[in-house]
Amino acid sequence: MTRGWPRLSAAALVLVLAVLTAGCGGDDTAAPTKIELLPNDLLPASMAGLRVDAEDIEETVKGGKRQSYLESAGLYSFRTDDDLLQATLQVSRFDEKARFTDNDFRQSVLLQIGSTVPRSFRMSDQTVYLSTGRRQNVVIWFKGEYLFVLSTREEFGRPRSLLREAIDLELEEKLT
Amino acid sequence: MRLRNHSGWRVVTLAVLLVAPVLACGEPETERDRLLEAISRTDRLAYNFVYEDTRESMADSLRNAAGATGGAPPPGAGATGAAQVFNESIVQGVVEDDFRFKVQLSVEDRPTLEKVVSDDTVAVRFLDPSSVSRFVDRAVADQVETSTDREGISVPEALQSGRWVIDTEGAPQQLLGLSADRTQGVDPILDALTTFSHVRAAVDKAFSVERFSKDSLDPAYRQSEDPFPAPDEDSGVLRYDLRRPPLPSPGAIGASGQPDLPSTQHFRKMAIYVNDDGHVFQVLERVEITGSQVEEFRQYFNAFLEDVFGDVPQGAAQLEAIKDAQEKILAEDGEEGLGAFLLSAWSVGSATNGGDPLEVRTLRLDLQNLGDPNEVELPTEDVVTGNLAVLVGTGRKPAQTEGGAAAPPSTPTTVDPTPEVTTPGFGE
Repeated sequence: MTRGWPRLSAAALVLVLAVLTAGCGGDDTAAPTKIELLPNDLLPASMAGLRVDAEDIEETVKGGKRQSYLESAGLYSFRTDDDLLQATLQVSRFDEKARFTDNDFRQSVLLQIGSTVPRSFRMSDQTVYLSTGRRQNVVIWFKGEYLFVLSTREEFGRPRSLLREAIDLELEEKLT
Repeated sequence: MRLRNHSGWRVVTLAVLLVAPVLACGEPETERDRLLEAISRTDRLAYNFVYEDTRESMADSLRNAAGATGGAPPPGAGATGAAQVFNESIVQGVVEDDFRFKVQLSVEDRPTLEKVVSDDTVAVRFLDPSSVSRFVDRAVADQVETSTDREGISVPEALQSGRWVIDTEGAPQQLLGLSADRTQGVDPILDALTTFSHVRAAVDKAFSVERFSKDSLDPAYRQSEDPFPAPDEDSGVLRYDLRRPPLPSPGAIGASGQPDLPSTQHFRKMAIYVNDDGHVFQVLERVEITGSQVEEFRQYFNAFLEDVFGDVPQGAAQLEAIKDAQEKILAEDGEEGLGAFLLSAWSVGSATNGGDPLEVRTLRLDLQNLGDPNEVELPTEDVVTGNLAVLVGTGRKPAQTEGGAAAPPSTPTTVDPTPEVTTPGFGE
């Protein structure tokens, strides 16, 4: 199921733009990158007791006018039974030009997301970076060629359970 | 004596080796960098730990300072309003990751409570039920729902009966949002779990990081003032010492325009031990004045007081009394006693005049089973479920809960330098 929502679309833009400017030595004269949309059913229908929906970010992604390190992206929302938005997860796949295993590259991406300098934590074997936005917590992590950005409402009571489920996601099967 | 004919070549080679990484990645390879890398490597592992924190409370400082001056409190001394700290605490724990851990806190050698955190859930059991009141969060205690899933049993009653109380959304939030240089001692469990943040903050405030060598001509701590053990030779263990910044000049003004005064980092000795796998396995810290620093700080202290007492009626007499007390302490308790007195007096003076008290303490962190997988499990027997926000450092406080004072805004927030970019509007 796809839902349209301008603000969530804008959230995806955060990610796209963040990755646009990551690293150094980019070619400003190159054509805008075409970013594919990730499948709507990439995530399970429910996670941490929340309903999962894919958000419509097609316009946002296709409206990009600059070069990007992203090959594809998707935005997913998490809602309680009363339809209250509790969290969003932005999933993006880097293209082959991105030095996504390089620490400097990662740091430059991290510094453009959230409003505080991200602090690193460890969940299972995954390093995650926590930042905050206004009344929300933002967790970022890199897994293979994927970048994840989980934003949770500050009042949401089970952010870590949701994070652990998201970290354990195995996306490769659905993407190959 | 044998001369090394090629020492010049070695120096050149070393210089090239040192410069090459700088050119390659822009990051200088210093002892500080190596230490921080070792901390980062260790931080990513599961481990067991024992954390010991022994500190001087403000009340102790007042007694020490006032007692030595014949009962007269030091200048500016009075009620501080500071949060209660635990003077002798030991935390033993098992860490699976930053969001799953199990700890036992002992206060003054008495097992006091156990806490298990697994993602959003926290479970607490008091081993010493008489100490429950000491952990009550009085700021919110009368606003928190205290009923449990057992009829007729409240959260405080369950805790006082020694039962486990589970709060499914009450895992401590402070772990995520805490400031690296926050006041320590109020929540020893949080202190223990965030020791590496404390060490990183101490590194940032240190003058430099030195790798210990018994042959060093300019060690961070002179041999006579070094309280920490040297690593065994051939053990492969490296010890990193934090060198204290020099004392500011009396009357110095800092970059912010405020007086530049000595604080904890000027008295901190810290040694971090790294094993041959490159992991930190021990951290030792002492905030103290010993050896040559006693006389150095005494001169600073008296110069500072001369300035303070200059405009105070009877100031000269008070200053003389303090100097007499110093002589008396020196005669009776030696240099070490005088150092402790000066530190206590400075801490009280700082705290009561709007500054931060000194963290006068000794800390020891021992890590074991580094990298061995740990599995932290929540208790399942004899548990009751309730809201643990009534305790300090646990539970979701009223302002954090749904519909509380911190309701989300209805407008989006700009978080990216690009003007049109916003994050999801959770107020929608």
